[in-house]
Amino acid sequence: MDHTFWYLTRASGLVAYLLLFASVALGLAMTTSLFSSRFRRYRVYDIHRFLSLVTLGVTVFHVLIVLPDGYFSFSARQLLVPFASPYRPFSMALGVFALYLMAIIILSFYLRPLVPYRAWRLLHYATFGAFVLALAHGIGAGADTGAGWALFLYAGTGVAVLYLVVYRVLRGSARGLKHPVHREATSPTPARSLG
Amino acid sequence: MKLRKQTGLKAALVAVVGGLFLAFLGLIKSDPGISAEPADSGASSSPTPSSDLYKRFFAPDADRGGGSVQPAPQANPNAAPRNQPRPHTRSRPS
Repeated sequence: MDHTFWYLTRASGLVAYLLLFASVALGLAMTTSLFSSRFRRYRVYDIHRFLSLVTLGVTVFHVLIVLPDGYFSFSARQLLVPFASPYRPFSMALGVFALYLMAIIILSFYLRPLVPYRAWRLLHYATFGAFVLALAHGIGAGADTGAGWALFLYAGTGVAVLYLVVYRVLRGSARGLKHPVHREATSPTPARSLG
Repeated sequence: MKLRKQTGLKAALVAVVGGLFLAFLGLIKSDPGISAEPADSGASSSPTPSSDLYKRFFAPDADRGGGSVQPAPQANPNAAPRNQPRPHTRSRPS
């Protein structure tokens, strides 16, 4: 039997996860002093937003490409409704929640003028939740989790995001106050306190 | 406004994404070990072409004798021919 679609969904899932990691890491680094000296912040924000869009696109591809796979025979309902999947329903549901959360957050990029800033920022923090959900989905539902390189990938990205969060909480806010930025010209998340 | 420019960088990013995708695809296809299912995953496992765990999960009848792999009945020359239902040959639910 041809397993092309199965391979495609696995590869795209890994790429989508790495893209989500890159987007989250970039978003975190952007609000710290890590990029301030080398890159203009609005450029980093632009790339961050673009990465988020690409992440969503690859994630949707990851979900849909398994539909034509005769080996799986998933229905759209099983893929899009949490806990409806016959294959590892809990881990699959985590992925479904991550997808919906990502879609809402990315949509909020474009609804930014319509949403109060504080609400927008709070919603943006849900990105961490989406990342954790995607990580758990990858570990729990991924067929490659047993491979050493996959474990290294998950552990490395998880630790990197954790490090950036801690860095952001401990140091980002203090440095950010020294370099206030205009919201409309740069990032919609000026580097103030995280809370 | 320059915010939506940087097309070169974005194109490079897309190229990197494509390269990553192809790299993972090649890795997954070439490494037979990656297809192996963890031993403790039990019935709710992913497709594993080598061990057919997935088929057992989605089409348990096929492996338990309820489907196409039913043992053939003993030949009995005195028995009258009957219209026995043919075992289905589907390997998985449609």
